[in-house]
Amino acid sequence: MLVGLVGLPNSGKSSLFNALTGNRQRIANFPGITVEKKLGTVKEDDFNFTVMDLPGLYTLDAISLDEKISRDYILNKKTEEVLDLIILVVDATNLKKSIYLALQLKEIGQKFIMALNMSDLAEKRGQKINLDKFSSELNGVRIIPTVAIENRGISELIKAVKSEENSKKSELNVDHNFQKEIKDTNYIKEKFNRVDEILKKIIIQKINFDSLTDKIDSVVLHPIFGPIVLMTLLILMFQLLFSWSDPFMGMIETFFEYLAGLVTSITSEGYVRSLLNDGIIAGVGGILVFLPHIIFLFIIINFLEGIGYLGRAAFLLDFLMRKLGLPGKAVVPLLSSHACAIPGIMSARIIENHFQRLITMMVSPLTTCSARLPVYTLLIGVIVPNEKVFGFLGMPGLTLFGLYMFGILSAFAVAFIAKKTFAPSAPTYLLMELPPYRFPKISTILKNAFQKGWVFVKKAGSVILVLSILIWGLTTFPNAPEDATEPAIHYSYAAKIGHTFEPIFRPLGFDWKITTALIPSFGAREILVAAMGTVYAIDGDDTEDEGFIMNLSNTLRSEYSLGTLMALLIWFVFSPQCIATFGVLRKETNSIKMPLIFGGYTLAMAYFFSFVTYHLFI
Amino acid sequence: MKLSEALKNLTYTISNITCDDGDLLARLHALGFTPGTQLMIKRWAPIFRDPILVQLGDSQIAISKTEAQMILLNKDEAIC
Repeated sequence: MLVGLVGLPNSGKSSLFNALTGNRQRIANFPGITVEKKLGTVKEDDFNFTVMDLPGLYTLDAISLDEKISRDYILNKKTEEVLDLIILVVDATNLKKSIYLALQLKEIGQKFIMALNMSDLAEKRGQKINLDKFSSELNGVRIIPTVAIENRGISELIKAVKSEENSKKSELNVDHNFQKEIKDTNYIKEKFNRVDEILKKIIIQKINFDSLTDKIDSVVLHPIFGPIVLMTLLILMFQLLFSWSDPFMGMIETFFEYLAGLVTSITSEGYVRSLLNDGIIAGVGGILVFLPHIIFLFIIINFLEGIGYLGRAAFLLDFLMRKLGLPGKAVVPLLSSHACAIPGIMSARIIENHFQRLITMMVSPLTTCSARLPVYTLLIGVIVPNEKVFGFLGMPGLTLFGLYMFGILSAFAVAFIAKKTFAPSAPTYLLMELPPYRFPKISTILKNAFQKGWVFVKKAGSVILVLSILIWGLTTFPNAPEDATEPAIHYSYAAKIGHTFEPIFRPLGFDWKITTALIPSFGAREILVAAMGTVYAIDGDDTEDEGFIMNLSNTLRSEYSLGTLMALLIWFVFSPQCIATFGVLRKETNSIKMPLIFGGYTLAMAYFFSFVTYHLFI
Repeated sequence: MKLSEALKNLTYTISNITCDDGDLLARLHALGFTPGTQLMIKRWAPIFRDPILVQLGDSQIAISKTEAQMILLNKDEAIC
């Protein structure tokens, strides 16, 4: 038995889904699109059924991609997966629009049970409803009051589903004019009049005005305090992301170092050890190291969303971001990408509009992620004199700040151009309901964050692992000859590729050694430092060792002109990286085309800006 | 009067919606912007009073200024 959860946005569908299914959940995508498809199994005694959490919608006159999916399921258009029953999740504190949707379901003859969610909140605020009358106004629909975040009313809901188990499937009565009819102003007017009529009959005592939400909003949306609160929260979020993730990333790295040490102790020198250590362990480690960032970012985002703040942030930022063709919510992925583009891209899911979500995902990696820092630090140390300007501003710090600004401004510029070029008429308006403030259920927040992390490992991980092993192969084979005088990497395919592409990179001032070192750094940007060390045969491989950095810096200074090093620095602002970014773009856009377009445009920008820089500084 | 020109904390009734874009109109309707409905401006965003936060029945809706210009209002008689 397949049951669909249908309801307005913010009606508490996800909480109800969690309350019903507990840990028996699986996440997939709807075929061909990036909208998350959540399925779960409900078990009580010997009765079980499958629930599908459908994207929120207001009316069957669907506009957005997400709403169309829900509509198609409600209208039984998905012939391969027909719903046996619908649970309409209704926010008891906000009945009007839900009743409108309920009337539409009635009209097409779709069978449903109503879960009157957040009934405790409504009661607390003084609302009294005559449930029997409510039910009879909707021709006897079963109405079950629930409080999903406290697991109340869940077993009653399951019993109600069970009682429908053996009844016939709904025979839908959808006129082919229906889609047109529901757009008609007269139809809507008539239906809303009917809603008002129902409300008048069923409401014994009206809900009190939500004064708490109003009080919080008078600060949070205040013309002066509002932006201050917003900036504080964003900076705090960014800080927490770093400080919470750091120890866990350290633990994951230590674990994989330990594992590599173990492999070294039980294998002999050769391809097997190399494949295990430099290919597989490095690859898997490179996937798992993103987990702390992903999980913590989603804990923070889910919390802000659950409490009702995310919509307020969008409200405050909408004007600025709209001018760039982006929604206010895009600030979350863009800011998170400064820590790491992987969770940043994933967090673009909070953007409802499909096109805006896509653009945000495509430009987020241009912002300066933390993996660029070792590269920036090395190169700035080599080329920027440690002098002060105006007496107190250090040149290196100023350069670093400039690179950050360059990253974020390019992201804005690309977003702006993409919008003007590919979707000049795509809507950018803001039209959104701001839910009242609520305290979210912590277990739901945590569960969702861990699910996001797990989906990343499962879906993006395979791409990342394959590419990591490929890069290992390129830098390892063929082996250096017995009488080799140069570092082994000079004989590898990577070096051959470096030589082959040297003419192309000449105009940027790159020689084959730099080109070769760029190949492993595709795995992760910070690897460039170690890779340079390998190519120049600098002793040691501890990239945090000062002696190592000093030797490498001296080598770079003596081998290359200022133009080349500046061009390399600029290359890293734009260069199409890293493997994990491609993996997660592949997964999040559910397409191969989008990561390729991303690779193409960033490569073109990297080449262009490096070229210009080289010729400016030569 | 347009919603974009309305004042804060006064009750208005929607008289008409002038919108050629079918999808947008559908969205406005779905959120409860229908002729005859009462509304009240709660607050404005910091920059150029765009977007606008509107109280519509039991829910609060944020709407950008351009779209607010499509919503025509009549001012209600003072009740209190």
